Amino acid sequence: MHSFDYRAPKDLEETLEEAAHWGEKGRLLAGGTDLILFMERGRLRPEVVIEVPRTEPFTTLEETNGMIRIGARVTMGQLEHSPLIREKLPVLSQAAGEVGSVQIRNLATIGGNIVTASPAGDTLPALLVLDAQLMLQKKGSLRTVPIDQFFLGPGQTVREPDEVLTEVRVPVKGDRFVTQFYKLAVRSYMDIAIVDVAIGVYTNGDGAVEDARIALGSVAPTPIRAREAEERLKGQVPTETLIDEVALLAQKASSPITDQRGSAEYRWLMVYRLTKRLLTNALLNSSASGHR
Amino acid sequence: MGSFKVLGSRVPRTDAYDKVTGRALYTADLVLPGMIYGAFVRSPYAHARIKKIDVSEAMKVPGVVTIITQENLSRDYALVIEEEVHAAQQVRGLLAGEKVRYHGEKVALVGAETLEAAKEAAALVKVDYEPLPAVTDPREAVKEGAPLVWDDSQPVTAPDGSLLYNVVAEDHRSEGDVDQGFAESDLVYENEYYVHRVHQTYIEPQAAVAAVDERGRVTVWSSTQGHFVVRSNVARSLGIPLSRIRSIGMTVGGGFGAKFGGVVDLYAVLLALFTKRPAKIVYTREEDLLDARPAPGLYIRIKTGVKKDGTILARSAFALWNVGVGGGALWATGAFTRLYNIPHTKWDAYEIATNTPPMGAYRAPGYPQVLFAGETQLNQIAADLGMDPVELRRKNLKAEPGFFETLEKVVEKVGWFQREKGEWEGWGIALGHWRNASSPAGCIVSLDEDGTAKVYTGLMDLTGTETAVAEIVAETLQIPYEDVTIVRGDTDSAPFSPPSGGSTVTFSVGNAAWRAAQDLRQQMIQLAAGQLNALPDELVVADRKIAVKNDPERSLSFAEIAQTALRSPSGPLIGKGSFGGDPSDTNIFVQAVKVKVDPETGKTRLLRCVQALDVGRVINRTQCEGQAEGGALQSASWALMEEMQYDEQGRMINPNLADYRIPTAFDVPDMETILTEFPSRHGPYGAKGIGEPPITAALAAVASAIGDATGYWALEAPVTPERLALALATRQPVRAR
Repeated sequence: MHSFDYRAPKDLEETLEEAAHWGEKGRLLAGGTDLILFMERGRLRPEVVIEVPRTEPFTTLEETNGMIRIGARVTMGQLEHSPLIREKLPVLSQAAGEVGSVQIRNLATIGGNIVTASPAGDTLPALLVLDAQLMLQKKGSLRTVPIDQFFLGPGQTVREPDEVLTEVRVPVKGDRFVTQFYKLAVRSYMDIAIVDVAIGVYTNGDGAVEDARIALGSVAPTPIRAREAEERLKGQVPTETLIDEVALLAQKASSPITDQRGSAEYRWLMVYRLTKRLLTNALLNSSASGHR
Repeated sequence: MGSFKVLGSRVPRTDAYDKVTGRALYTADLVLPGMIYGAFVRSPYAHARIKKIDVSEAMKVPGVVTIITQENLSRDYALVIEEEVHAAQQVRGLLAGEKVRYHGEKVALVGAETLEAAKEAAALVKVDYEPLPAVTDPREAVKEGAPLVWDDSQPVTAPDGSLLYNVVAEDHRSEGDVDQGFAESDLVYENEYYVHRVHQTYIEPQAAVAAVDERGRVTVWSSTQGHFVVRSNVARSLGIPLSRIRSIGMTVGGGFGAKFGGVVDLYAVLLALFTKRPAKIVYTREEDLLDARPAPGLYIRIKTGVKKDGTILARSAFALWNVGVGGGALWATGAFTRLYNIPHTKWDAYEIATNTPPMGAYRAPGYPQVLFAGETQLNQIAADLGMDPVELRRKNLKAEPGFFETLEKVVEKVGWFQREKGEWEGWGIALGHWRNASSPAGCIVSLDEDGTAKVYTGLMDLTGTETAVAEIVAETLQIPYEDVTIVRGDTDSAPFSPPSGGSTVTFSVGNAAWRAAQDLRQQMIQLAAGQLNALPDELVVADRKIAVKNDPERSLSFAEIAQTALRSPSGPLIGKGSFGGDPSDTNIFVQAVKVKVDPETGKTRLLRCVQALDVGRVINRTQCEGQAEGGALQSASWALMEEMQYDEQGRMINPNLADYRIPTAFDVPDMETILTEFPSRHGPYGAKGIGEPPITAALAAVASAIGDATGYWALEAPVTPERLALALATRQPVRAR
């Protein structure tokens, strides 16, 4: 690995100072499970590594006014095990629990998973389904970016070099919002997704779908929402035929490539089948679970 | 044989405490004063002409000591690898010369004060390549117009008259008359199978340290399966007399056939020779996946003629081994005929050069690939005949000791004929086999003053063989296992030992140790007879003492015997044993698995994994079970997920453990293992070598279980979720859920 300077700011303010000072020459380190690998392989050669401090708001994990606040340094392991997340955002808990190994989840953070912006980041489809809001702060300013407007391409986001992702805010949607997540990989554990699918649906008392979210990972340059598919569901009472149509629309939204983990053809087929499976589980089989 | 005191127990391994506490010393742990670090410049191309190598920028990196290319190597140097156990031989340049022939091939070697400097300099060596078309699939490599891996290669004529290109070796065998056999058959089946190359994926990457003293004597420390082999390879490759090389085998983190040397050891020695400083080379995982000695791939077409009642009349095979730029696979081809009574057999096998790394041995080299085809086809035939696959085996299996009995153990354990399966579940059974290698070995056993024994050996312990040898000595001397100390020597201090490969060590070194212990025991009895005024025949050896049979009060403890020897003209008691290599007997391995397939995603989950292994004699029950389980799992993993993947240009696209997958504990069901004991005529206490057989059958058993679950018979391994899902989608409508 190349030589670099290391900074350890004490709090938010100092972090913003460092980020402003180093700009493109610096990289923020949280869990480091991506960054250190990228540096070892020479993919990134920052002059300065700035470690995000283990202080608020980076470590926040709480519910306030119908909003769950998750600090950028909250680990995958915390999301997996936190009673709050398990109860209120089970889809995020499940997705976080399928990232890497126990050791990786003890280090890897939600902020890192978002900022790395891998198309295969497992928590990203879950966060898309949950309408997560990203708090991006820099010296003297703060902006909120909805997660579906954050990603530009593999590793590319709207975050500016001097901006720090401080926390993620997720509105709590209540019991009528049913979610499902499926990670398809060769191994049942510790593997990188071939396809990730997350769905979330609201149904009203008559069984009609009020609103829907369908998010896909590993099948486009960024994690995506299948908006046409979502629209098709809205206001409808779900049937097998409808779900089949919706799954085909989700497939249409994806643009998979062939790589070492799977062919475009396979991914294409899996988007259709898994979307259909999850929607069927959520809307037609009330007792089924989304777990593998 | 009667009952045993030590054999058959579950005593802990000799190395257990050191490994558990982290005290065991691996090659990468070594740091010598003044040591430099080596890093390789590797080819980014699978096939290219090297036009120019410019090291000028790289030499400017602070800390760089030397950069070696093929150009500044002595003409006398060549990579010469001979490995007796598998009769493998290779001769080629140490570094790429005019051409590179696989992605990751060594082009230059940098030595520097730090690993970081060595890597930085390696990245700055400018190599001017002219890329050439590459071929990684033997089915393509044999065609006219395929890129030629070796410039001087000439096409050979196949049995059907066609020309085969890129052939580096061939083998043709037959017994009986297959044409007649097929003519007499009611049904003739012909199927093609393809097995991708896989890597042994030992946990410790290849590593070596070397030093040269002021008199030119070379010491090499390495992670190896055989330090004697390392010594002879260094001698042959670099022209150094054997007596001027000391080879030290460090603790090994797995080898499975890939650690017979030639990957890093020669290069550490080269650096030490060039710089007169100790040098260390430790592979990264990526380097190991790109440039070690992975298993050969196989294309094989098997033709089998049967009577309607399942009697096999004839089997033939046409095989293309993907040996990369190496060789040594041919001899495994006949494995598909060995277990059965087949009047007519024939095979035509070819080694095909491709632009992939040189092949090496991998646990029962070649057998899993051949038996994937042979045993899967038998299960397809059984299904087609409407016959139970076990009945088909019963009808054709040879009646050698243990064959039927071991098969029936699995039938019983599984409840095979009452087996049940749910939707998308399936069962598979397959037979595997091996006959351990038998190799020359020496051993010395001495008796210490306290009555305990020391064993001097040169074995390299990969699998618990040191423990096995200690148990054999303890049993022979009738002392507890804890009273035996193993002294593992290097090539300067130990009697000759074969490398750990081909399941040879417990059998061969075990025999030498048994003979040495017998020799010592005779000397002890002679001495005791004199002291006790008894005839040797009147004495019994038991419980750390020698006593007169009918007068047990008259006895000498082992400690007293050892101390008496020191005061007597005979001096210290030292037993020695040498073994020249009497042949062993075949062990059968029986594998049954149950799987569940998700027909939509193609994911296969192992539900049960039941295996039975004839070990000849259980030396250590825990170790035997461990071998059976580990082998079964490696084979099942080969069936489901392991594959070295290459792109169109021949570059490996998954040289890391995220994308070259091996199973985690979550992918493995409880393993159910049965050991049977049908002694080898020449094995120590009847023991057979057991490292290899457990990997030979699960590849076929898992593929067959998938066939049973889905009706799709896998012709290509591994059966990844993608292959299975796409095959099911095109071959049959996927059932609605």
